[in-house]
Amino acid sequence: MSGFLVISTASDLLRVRHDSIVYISSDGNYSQLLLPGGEMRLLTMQLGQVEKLIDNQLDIHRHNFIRIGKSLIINRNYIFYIHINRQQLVLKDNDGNQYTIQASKEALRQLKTLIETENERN
Amino acid sequence: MKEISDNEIRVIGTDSEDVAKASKRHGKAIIIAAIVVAAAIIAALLIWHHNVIKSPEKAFFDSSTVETDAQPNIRTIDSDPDTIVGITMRDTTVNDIPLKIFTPHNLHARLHVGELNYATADTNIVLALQAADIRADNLEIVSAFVLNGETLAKGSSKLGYCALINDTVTIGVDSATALYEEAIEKGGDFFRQYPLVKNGNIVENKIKNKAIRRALAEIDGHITVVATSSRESLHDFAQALVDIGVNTAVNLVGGNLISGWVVAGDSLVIDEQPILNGPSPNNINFIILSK
Repeated sequence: MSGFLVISTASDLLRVRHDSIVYISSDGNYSQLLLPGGEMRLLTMQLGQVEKLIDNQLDIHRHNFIRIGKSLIINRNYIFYIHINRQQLVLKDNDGNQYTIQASKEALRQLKTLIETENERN
Repeated sequence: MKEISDNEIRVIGTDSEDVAKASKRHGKAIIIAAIVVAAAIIAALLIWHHNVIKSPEKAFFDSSTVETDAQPNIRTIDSDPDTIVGITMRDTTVNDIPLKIFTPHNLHARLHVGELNYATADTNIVLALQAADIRADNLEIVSAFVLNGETLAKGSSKLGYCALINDTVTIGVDSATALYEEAIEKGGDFFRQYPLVKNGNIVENKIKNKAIRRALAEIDGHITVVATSSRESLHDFAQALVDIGVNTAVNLVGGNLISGWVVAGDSLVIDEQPILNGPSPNNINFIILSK
């Protein structure tokens, strides 16, 4: 597996490295994919379909992606800050750009626990 | 791929149950520790109470000593919606946001400009919520506002609107609407606010802060009022409205210093009288529903 996510439709093709995906959010029947630097690409498919593509194409790299609720997939390598009560998740890229997104308290609680648990093991 | 709820996470390529189980194990350990500490504190308090505390003196406002001849205000609300005159309420929680949905039945609807206080207001008013925003610089009403057919403010900077004409409330999202002129012609009322939902889709606004939220919302052709008790962003509030099936929604003034009240059935469910540094602005305005 090349480590690239390839999303191909009848009219176009998007090819992006797994570590260039900050997050993907649901936008009705479409999805929005955010690249480092803030560039947003519209994907003409639902988030569930994007998740399947990640699962099928990215091999070991797919574990870097975490589905959060119905409307978000994040790349865990960009996680910077979690505030459960404010329902805030902040992702940060290598250039220092920060992206704040909202998620449910319970989902953020589970995410925080996941990261803490994995950190203890390492 | 298995369905996922908004309260779950899933590492792609693993079973989501593994994540939930790890979270639950971690959570259980914390809960057990908290229970042990709480039990120790309670035991210590019980011992202290037994040894030290004597019979408490009766407080002046102890309800067991105060006599009253006030009669309980009991009214039976007919279960047939066509004969109800008032507001019914239901609670729901969407995306962790608790919502109260107020449905008016057979009420008069109008706007009011000027300060209102539940304690001194007409008792027939069962809902009074702030409607249009007021500018912070000149205290004028933001965007078009018509009261009893008289134009008090102009503009369409806010695309959401509400027309109250002959006790019919209509809401919509558009920069132009014939209802504005109709309100003027027929002596009705009209105001504009941030749009939240149009045709079942979120309308994004630039306001990003979190505050108590209120909205006029149309669900299955019925106008309701939806309110939060928690501070939410406009986006999250709008998303919650979409998720409960709202087709159109227009914001009402939200914030932490808002005035207003709602009586649902026999209960005063919302009662907000903020303590301001000075009187309310002259142009403070309300949407009122009354019997």
